[in-house]
Amino acid sequence: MSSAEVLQRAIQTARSGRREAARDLLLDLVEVDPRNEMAWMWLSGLVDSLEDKIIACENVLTINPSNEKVRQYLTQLQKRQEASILKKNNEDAVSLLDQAKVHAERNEIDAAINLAGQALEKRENYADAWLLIGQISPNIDQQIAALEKACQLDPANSEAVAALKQARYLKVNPISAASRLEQMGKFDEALKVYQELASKTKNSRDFDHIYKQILRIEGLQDEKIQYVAPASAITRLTFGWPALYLSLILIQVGLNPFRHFVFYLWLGLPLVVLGSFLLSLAEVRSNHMVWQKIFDEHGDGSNFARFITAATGWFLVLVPHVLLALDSLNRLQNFKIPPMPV
Amino acid sequence: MLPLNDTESNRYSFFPIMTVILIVINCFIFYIEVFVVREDYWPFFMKYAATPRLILSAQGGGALSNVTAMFLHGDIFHLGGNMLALWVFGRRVEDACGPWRFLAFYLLAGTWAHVLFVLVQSDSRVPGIGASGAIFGLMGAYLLLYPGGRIRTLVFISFVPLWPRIRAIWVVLYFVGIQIIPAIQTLLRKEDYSINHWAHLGGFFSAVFILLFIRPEAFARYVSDTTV
Repeated sequence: MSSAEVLQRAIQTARSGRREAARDLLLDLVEVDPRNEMAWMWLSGLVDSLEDKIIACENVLTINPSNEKVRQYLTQLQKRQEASILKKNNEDAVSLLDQAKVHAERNEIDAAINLAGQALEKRENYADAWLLIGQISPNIDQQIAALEKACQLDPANSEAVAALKQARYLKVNPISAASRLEQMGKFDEALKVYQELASKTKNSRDFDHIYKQILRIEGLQDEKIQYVAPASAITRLTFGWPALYLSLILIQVGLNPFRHFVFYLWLGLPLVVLGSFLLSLAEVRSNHMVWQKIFDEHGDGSNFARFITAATGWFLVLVPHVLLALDSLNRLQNFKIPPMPV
Repeated sequence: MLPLNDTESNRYSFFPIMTVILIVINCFIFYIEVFVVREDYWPFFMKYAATPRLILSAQGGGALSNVTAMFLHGDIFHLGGNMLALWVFGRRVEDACGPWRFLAFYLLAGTWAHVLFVLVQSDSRVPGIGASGAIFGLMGAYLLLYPGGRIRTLVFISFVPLWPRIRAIWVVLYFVGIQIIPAIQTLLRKEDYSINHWAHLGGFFSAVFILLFIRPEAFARYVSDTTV
């Protein structure tokens, strides 16, 4: 059977709806007659995958470069292929970034940065991946570069803008940067920063301070102290004063809040919780959002911010206690002393 | 058995300022009891001691009396014993907490001592006084924070005084152990003792709250199983 007859047969088979049989015939045909333009044209419509369609079209254009219809069709196919690759890369990047975030939450920083880097290989302009690297990288220069990229890609992302401001602050305040590394449980890196600072400082007072920090961190390393996140320390300490206040109220209401209900005493409880939280915040060094949101500071809270926070905390803790004492004094004034039992 | 001193040194702070302040306040108030209140002690105790019936009926000073009761003592031996124990067990607990949180824990332990006292002896009109509930809280906290601690303790063996360094667990277990039988008798036979055993136990069990009060570094050491 000649090539033309095979082609005709394949076309009839395709028109009768038997696509696979037609495709097989055409594949056999192009094997013996690879320069058969019509065979490749028909094949481009009969093969399933986008890649095969593109190969078929390219073969048509190799045989006949002036076939404009096929050229247009090829352009469409290539666009579809690019979109498909982009979509797959996006999906892969999102999946990689999700994994990176999981590692970051577990404080596995190296693995998280590696995965975020892989996400960026799939999708270079992935602002969230740049942001994650900027937030977790222990290297301040890498942080700034990543955050600048994140801000450049998405200038409206307030989180990235704030993180960039913070990173730039830490770049010029290395003691805060060392403290931040310590908060992240990266004692080795914190020690490196302090040692570098100690070698550069010319002020003996600053040197003493830095040296004390070095000794302290070395002590922690020697003792193999387990890392406790600042957020957990703040939460734990927050419940101390409220536990006392709650116990005192229980005594005040005769261990029965329903029988001797005093509204304003219970109103004091959330104030004590808030006050206790502020006291904990002022004590535990952390890059809590309060420092940014209220004081517009990007470190661990300046001495001024800490002082104001501690003062407010004491005020909020003490006021309900004073009210409780006044309530007790009021009760004492109206108290009739029972006679002494004989 | 009389605990004399904790021979280990402080780690975080130089001087246990709040422990000393509490001792001074207790002594000062005892001075007032002896030289100012004198014979007129009944209305004074009714106002400033923790009396279960008054607390349950929400009469009297309530929370304030609960606190003031922790600073009242019956006699010089009561005061002396408590202050010695406060010094022995309070110093390093304060070191782990810092002065203000130590004060909060001390008051919390004293309050829970009164809560258990009121719950168990709800009919009692006997005013509860003394720092011992809070001090039992400190003993429990000491045991949690320094399980390997040793206490220089005065013991008499056949009238011969000795002062060995005894593991804190044995000292604390001794003092808690001698509370249990009288406490059960109080509960079952409604017997009144001049010593408030249930308050002591209440204070001791409140020691679990200490983990809410210790400073971050001490807590990190606590979870790392190294000496706080």
